[in-house]
Amino acid sequence: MRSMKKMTAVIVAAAMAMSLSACGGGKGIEKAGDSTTAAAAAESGESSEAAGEETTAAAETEEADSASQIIIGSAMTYTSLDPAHSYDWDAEMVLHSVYQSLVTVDPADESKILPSAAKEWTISDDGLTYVFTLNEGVTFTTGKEMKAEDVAYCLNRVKGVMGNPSFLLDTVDSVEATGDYEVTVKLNTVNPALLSILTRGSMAIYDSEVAAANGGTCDESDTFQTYIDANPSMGAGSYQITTYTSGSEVIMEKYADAQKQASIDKVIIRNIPDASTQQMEIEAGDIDFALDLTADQTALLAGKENLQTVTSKTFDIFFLMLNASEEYGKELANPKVREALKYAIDYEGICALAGNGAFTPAGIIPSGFLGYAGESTVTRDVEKAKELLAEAGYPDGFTFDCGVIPDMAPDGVSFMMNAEKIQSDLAEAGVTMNIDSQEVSVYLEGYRDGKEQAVIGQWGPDYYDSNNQLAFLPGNTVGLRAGWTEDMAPELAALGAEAAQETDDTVREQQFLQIQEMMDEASAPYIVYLQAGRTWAVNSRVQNIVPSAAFVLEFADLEVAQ
Amino acid sequence: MNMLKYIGRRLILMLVVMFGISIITFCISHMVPGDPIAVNLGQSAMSDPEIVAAYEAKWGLDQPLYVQYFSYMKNLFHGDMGTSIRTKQPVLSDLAQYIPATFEMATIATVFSILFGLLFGLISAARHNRLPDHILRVFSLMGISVPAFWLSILLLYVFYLRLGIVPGSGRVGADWLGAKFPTGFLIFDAITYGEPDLLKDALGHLILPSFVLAASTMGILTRTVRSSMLEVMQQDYLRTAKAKGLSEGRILRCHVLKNGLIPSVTMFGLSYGSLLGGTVLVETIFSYPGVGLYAYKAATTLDFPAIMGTTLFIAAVNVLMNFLVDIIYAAIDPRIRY
Amino acid sequence: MKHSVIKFIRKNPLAAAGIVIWAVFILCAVLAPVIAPYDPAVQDLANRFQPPGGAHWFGTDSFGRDIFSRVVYGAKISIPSGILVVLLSCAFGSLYGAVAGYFGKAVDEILMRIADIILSFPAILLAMALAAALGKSVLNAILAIAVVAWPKYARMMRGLVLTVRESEYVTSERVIGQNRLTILLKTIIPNCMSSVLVLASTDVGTAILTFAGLSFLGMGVSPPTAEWGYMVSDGVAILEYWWISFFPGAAIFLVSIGANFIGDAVRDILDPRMKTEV
Repeated sequence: MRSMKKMTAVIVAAAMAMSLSACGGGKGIEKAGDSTTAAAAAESGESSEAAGEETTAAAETEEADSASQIIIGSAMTYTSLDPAHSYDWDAEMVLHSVYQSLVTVDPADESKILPSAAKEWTISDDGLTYVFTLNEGVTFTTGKEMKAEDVAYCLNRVKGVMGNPSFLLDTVDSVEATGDYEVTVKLNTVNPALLSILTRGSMAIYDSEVAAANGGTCDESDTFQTYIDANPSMGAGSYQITTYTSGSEVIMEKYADAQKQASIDKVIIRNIPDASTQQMEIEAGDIDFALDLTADQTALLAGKENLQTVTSKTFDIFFLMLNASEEYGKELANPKVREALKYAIDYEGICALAGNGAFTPAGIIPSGFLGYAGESTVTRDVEKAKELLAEAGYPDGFTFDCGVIPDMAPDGVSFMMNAEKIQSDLAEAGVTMNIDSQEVSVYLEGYRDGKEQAVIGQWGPDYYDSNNQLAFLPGNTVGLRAGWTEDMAPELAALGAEAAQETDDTVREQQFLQIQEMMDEASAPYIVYLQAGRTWAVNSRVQNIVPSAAFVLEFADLEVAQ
Repeated sequence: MNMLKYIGRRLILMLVVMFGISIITFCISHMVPGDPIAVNLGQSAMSDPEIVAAYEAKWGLDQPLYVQYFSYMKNLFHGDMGTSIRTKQPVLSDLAQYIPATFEMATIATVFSILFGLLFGLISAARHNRLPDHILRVFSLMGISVPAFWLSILLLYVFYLRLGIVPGSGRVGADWLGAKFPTGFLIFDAITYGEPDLLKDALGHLILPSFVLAASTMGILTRTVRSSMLEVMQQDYLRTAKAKGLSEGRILRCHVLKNGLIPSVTMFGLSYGSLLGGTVLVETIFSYPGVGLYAYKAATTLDFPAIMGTTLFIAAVNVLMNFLVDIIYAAIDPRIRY
Repeated sequence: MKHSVIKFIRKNPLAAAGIVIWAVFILCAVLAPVIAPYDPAVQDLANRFQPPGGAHWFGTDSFGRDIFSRVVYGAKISIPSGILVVLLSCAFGSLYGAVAGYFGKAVDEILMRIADIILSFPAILLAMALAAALGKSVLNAILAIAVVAWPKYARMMRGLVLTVRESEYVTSERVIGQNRLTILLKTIIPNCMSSVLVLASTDVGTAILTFAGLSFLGMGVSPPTAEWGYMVSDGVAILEYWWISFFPGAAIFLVSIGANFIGDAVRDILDPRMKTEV
């Protein structure tokens, strides 16, 4: 008995000793922005650059007392901030403020391309060669000057690593430094959307020497992502990421030598997945921005004393996809049925529920893009829907399954709420829509492979040019997901291919309008029911808020009242 | 040395159980329909065969299942749990980041439940079938019956939204975000390095979720302590002791407490494991960056390496606790033979 | 008769309360269309987020649906699910444990290690994964929870069988040449059932909680079905409209505590060790 007791004691003691020794040898607690920058840089082993960084960090610590900071509550969707891999709408705001791309867009009008790292550019007559001239004297946070070699390296890396955004540069044949400050981009096919693509956060420019020294190879064996996510950023934007903890927080500090000087010293983005938690924290004053609130929440917050709401636009369209193939669409393969469903839905009701400035566009081109066809003129007509159903051979209605991701609300628009509303609308026309709530991985697989009978879907453009919406045409990416093959509407497919290559904007606009008209006539396998707006709750001490559909929010413009 | 033999046998069995868990987890997670690659790619990229192929090769998903399993196990024995498809970080470093958070929450919850469970259980037993016993019975049954997710919401509503006396979600307040902590165990760090602010902040964030976690184990413990105490009190040797004229207090201390606590030890061990499992719901609601939230996200995005990692971790804690419980059980109960 | 009811209530007030709670909810489940003042699925966008009172006793939710009606209809899902989970896991688990305990040796070792494996899993994660693998539906959620819940019955039954196996009456039956399976089914299992029943009766509450937890996480029912766990998750988005989460959550709580009240009394009545009072 005794010996057993001793044994237990020994085991317990050993366990304690182990846990203690694991704890020992620490350096003490380092608050963010204290010496983290210097420490991380020192670890990285870039001796010359690290020295420069240490001084920046030290200088910042001294004035830490009067430093201004804002905290942004956001349901982070990104898991990496490596430009060559990152591809999430909310990563744009970080990448945009930390890095420069060759060009950028006007936040008030995303179709206007503005200079950024490049001060000017020329396009050859055949539309296949772009020559960019860089600003001189721009330095990265590492101290290195930005040169053409960096641009070429970064763009080639996007193309080569086969990451999420690689496909954006599919039409790019080569990117070369043709001078210290001159970059030449050659295309294999004409792509009127190229400049728009180059504004994206993925096309960010950073110190290529650091990248090459830390696993950057610009092909599939590239391992720089691990380094870039673990170390302070090395861009030339208004801010520098000092700490990034995936799925938890991003801490950015003002970059003193940036071209565009920021007003606020420190920006912290906290991952708060729950909209309700965001709401509580913004009310309590714990965060300055709540980015993911639903319309019902912003409505509650609207009158609060210390808060303001900021409404802006997005280019995100939400749609009910109805599979056009006989095999998977079944009843929905009949265009008459799809037309009937179009009249059964209460668009006003859905938009009112979604709030935050949502409305129903007439087609696949969102408001703000070339070829936007205005707001939808379709109004609900249950009787007409029933008649059409009877004509199609379903006088007593029918039942279909609709895939929905349950816990997702991009732009504060809950897929499930849309689905429940549509379900109730269709029920009045005698159609039973079974909501098949699916985990995102399940949903995406079925949707991508075109095997879902119907889904509630959302499309956020990859870049801000109408060409991106051509994916919805028969035989294209989204078209195939809806079982809509080229031979089902050859004329539409042909017109789409023509529009993709057209460079004259007036011709393009006509083409896009015609495409949407033809889609309507053919009862395309999508019912676009809303284009989302965005409403944030913001602490009233924050001023000069410039929202953007492209990069969400310009941190450098923000100011805080004293 | 029967004891050593027994421990050795148990250790081997533990390995067998862990091996079984790894196979089952692997099979189930691959049985679930869905494509983890699609979750991690944009809407356009997920239809680009080149990018998809590159991703599948990178995450080893282009291999046959048994090859994937063996390479996972091989790496595991080399201390490599793979890289999370979702966070792109090594699962080991993800776990290293989240385990201290969950450990802290579960430990505080355990302390809560042991303290109150013991106290309430003893009072119940001592005042058997009288008013305190009845009140505590209702109280402990309430703890067992309350849905954790609902209690979390109620507590947040009352103490955070209405009264504003506790901080809301997360693990630390704005001041400490992004700070580097030597051990990651915030309470330990705060005490070691003399940061009273951090201690207050961390405890404030822990109190509601730990309370919710503790509610049910506390209830179960109260019931266990009560019934085992009552059982011991009926034993013959106690009657003998009473007949011998020993005082009530002495009987309680010497005989009842020691023998009555044995079933409770089992409970402590088992409840720790269920606490860890229970963190899934609580951490989701409190946005508390721990293993539970990580596991939930891994499960919904089919992040295979992370699913394997978290399941193996929680299962290992369960198995280890069972093992320790049995050893302690054996050590304090002379009647047990191996 | 009347006298004995009063006596029962006085002796087991909690059990009586539990029985009343369950009677009310079973009534709700059976007579939902009669009791509920509104159709639980019908939306009324003009009356969203109405606080409790007036035309809507429990208020309305984000679609203007009547929460009282939905809570009433919710009983149709939660109560049968909880009971079914317990029936399935108890039946399978006890048989499994009895076989392990009775046959002993290698059979016991293998069977119980398998049970250990299941028991070591984080329950809610395993149930989540299984529910996802089987496809989302109420029945699959029930199955998934049962798969997670059976090992505790197996463990208990095995322990009981081990003691009963050596008892005199079993030995005597063996001596008179009874078939082993017959002994197991006819003598041993019935002798152990009372303890298993105690566990089962307290387990109903746990099963209902787990089921609600799964639906809270989005596994289980699909809209517009009214289910309590799912309804609670509906209200999480806006705590100001507390009634959306509060009432369905309270229903889960009540049913679960009712089951525990009853289970506790069953334990006192059936558990032989508790029979004699100190």
